[in-house]
Amino acid sequence: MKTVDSIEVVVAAIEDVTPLIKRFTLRKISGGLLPPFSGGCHVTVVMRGGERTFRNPYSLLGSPRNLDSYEIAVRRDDQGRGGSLFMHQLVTVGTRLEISHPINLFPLSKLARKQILIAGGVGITPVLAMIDDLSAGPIDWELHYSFRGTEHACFGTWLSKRHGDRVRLYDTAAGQRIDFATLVGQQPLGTHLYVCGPSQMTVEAFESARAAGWPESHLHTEQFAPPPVGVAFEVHLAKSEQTVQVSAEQSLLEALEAAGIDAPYLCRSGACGRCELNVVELDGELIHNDHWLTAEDRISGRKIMPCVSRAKCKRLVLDW
Amino acid sequence: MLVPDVKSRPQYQQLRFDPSGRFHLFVGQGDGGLALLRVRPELPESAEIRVIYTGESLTGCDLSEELAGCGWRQLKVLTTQVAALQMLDEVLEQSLMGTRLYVAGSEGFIGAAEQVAARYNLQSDELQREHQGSSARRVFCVHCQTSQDDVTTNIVLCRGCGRHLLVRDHYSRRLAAFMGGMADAEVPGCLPELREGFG
Amino acid sequence: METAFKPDESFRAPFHYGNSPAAIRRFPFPFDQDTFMYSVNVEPHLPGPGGSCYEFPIDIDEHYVAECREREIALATTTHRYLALPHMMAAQWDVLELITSHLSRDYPEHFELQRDGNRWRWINRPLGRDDTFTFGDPATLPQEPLEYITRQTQGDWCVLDQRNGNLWLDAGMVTTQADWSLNFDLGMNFREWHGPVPLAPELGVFDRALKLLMNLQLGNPVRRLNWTMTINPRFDTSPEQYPVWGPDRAGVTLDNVGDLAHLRVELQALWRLPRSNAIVFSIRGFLMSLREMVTIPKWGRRMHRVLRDLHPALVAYKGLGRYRDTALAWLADYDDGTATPPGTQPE
Repeated sequence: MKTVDSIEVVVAAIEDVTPLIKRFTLRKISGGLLPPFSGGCHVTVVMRGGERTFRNPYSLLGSPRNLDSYEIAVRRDDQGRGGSLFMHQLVTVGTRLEISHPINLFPLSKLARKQILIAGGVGITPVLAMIDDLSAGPIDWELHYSFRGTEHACFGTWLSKRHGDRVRLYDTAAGQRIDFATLVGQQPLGTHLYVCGPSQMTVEAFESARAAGWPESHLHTEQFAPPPVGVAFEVHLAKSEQTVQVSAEQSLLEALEAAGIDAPYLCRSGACGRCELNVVELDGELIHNDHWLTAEDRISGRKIMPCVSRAKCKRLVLDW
Repeated sequence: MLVPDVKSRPQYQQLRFDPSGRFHLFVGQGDGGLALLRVRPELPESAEIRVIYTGESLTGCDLSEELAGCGWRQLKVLTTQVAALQMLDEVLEQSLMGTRLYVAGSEGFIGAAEQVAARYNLQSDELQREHQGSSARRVFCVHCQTSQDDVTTNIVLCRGCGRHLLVRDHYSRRLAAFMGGMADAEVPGCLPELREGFG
Repeated sequence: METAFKPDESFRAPFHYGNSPAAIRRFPFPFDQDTFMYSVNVEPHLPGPGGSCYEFPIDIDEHYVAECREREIALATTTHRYLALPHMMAAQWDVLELITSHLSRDYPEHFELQRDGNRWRWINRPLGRDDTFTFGDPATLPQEPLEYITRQTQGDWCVLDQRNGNLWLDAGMVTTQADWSLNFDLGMNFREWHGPVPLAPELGVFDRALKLLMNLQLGNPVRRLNWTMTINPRFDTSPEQYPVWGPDRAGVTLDNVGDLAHLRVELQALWRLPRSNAIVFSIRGFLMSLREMVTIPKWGRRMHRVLRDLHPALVAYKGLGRYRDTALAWLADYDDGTATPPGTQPE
């Protein structure tokens, strides 16, 4: 099954939001409106950079009511694999890019009685569009946004102006911290908690919520973590009878794509389950880095999520 | 010739104290009191626990006195199911995240309590259900939209439209009822064998 | 393709219905081999050959006007056929946009959509409608958006909310269903509303289908076919109306089965909806009598074999028990035992 139908866009504007974050405005090359979307959506941006093609997910942060353009924000990561540097250094106004249709793996619960959003740093991006949806609806909500230093406060100040008391800002450089325990301790039944930020923040927020008795069904997060590196190995595809080398820096999925194989994917973060492949044979061990497979799946050694997981072996045979 | 062996009935479990919760609300009806008596010794003394109970039931099993005798700090005994459900609604309105709801009683009572809980967006990981006592069902007639309680046979005469209904094993949480559809529509008078109880 | 509508058709007594030879050839015959068992038979909802029922994502055929009138009758004479839970309003507008934009693009001779910001004008020539409304404001439409637009389509529409790792049937327009009740099933999750289906759970069909649908993407709709049989060209075979259509099954004889027994095929298409992140599930029914079917010899032979070898649990679930033997006796005359080439196409 063909998995991704892409949209051709052109970069219409680039703006420095903070010293590390740039905002890109994307318009359809053919003109006209882009597809509507919902708060929490991301698009996968395809970056064809010389030898390597990056496919990075970025949240849509503009208003779902403005479909003339999409906006994404990219935080520069000098130690990263190169996708954010590509966006910061090689993309200019007028650059053409290919993006996926919007995908929402971080949706708001429509039945919540109250919504609490927690964002840290560049994790604010999906939250911006979520707030746009929330402010048009009847459900009570509040945002707690933490960032480091006033030069990084740009999104927060803007939100604060628009939404007043619903938005609380925390500048960690000034020693301000979100008091998670107090925050989650006194919320009415039916409240949902959404966290988007550094993994440490998510852990802290969720641990506080669990300690206060919150069940998992009310806790939501989205993290776009790059696939971990490892050692190189060889993959053989049993059905299509192809052999592909996975380098230490590459994810298994990227290696398959580089070999021209149309493998399925959605989140590229090990969360959604779309890219699951069946293992036929293995002369080593699987290194699972996903949040999708069950403990049983892992023990069975029969399944792998190639977007983030890899193998420590000479040869892995997949049912493809 | 409706299909009799449809499988979408609710799955019940035995109530067990859930230590991941912070507040614990037990709601019992009739024989459901047995479940409350059974879990009582398992409950930590420090836990924040409230109990709502009504002895009103088809089986006549009223355990109000037994429950009153086992030292709950917050026990409310009500004379009717309606009053118990009303109290449940009021308590949930005031409740905080971290609450666990435990319901024990007849299928009809559990269903009605779940309808209340749904208004507060309680999910399956915040709610336990234990079936005790009568297996009588609430049946919803798809033809005239009348529900009737305490149905104990596979075929029942609809109070609303007078048709013989076959009770299907298909359950709606929204209506808190099993589906009833005309049993002899294809050949009038040709009814399946009448059976007591639901296996 | 120029479609000549047949506005006089009736899907209730006195019945008046038939397929033109062209409509028979474009019928979505569901059996690609001589046996049938459940599978996750989901494929991308991609455009098919010109003139086929897959040419456009939402098909309009010669029965369009009559089926819209049948829906009006069902809505006027029965209750609870259109239902939507309050949190589904964004999804309702999504469905309205999906239907109006596809129909106006694919059938410009029949439908026209003019968009000026949120000010929309919708022209439906076959039904004689010309309405202007504000997108996003339900007060500017005569009915809720989902009801309004699905009154102008063939087939049923279910809208599924996605939350907590499941899909929830939280809105729908259902007047042409094969023995399931929207009023009863509203609010159920994917597993609950499939509870009545035999065998499929054991085959793991629902687990895989749910996984696939949860990951359904914008711009990448999927489809599958489902089938059953219906006595008379009747679309409203709801549980609510069973007292009306149930007796039909007892009146089937060898003399009338060729005309009374219809293969009913559902072309089910699913789209991810953009603003609500919900999924819309369209269930478009096609009806063809056995007599029409045997005009395509391959289909006649295959239908005989599929029906003959059908698993007993499916015979019961699809309600075929009372007349299957009669249908088999009639179809036997059209099965000379020769091989049927694989695939669903007529030859």
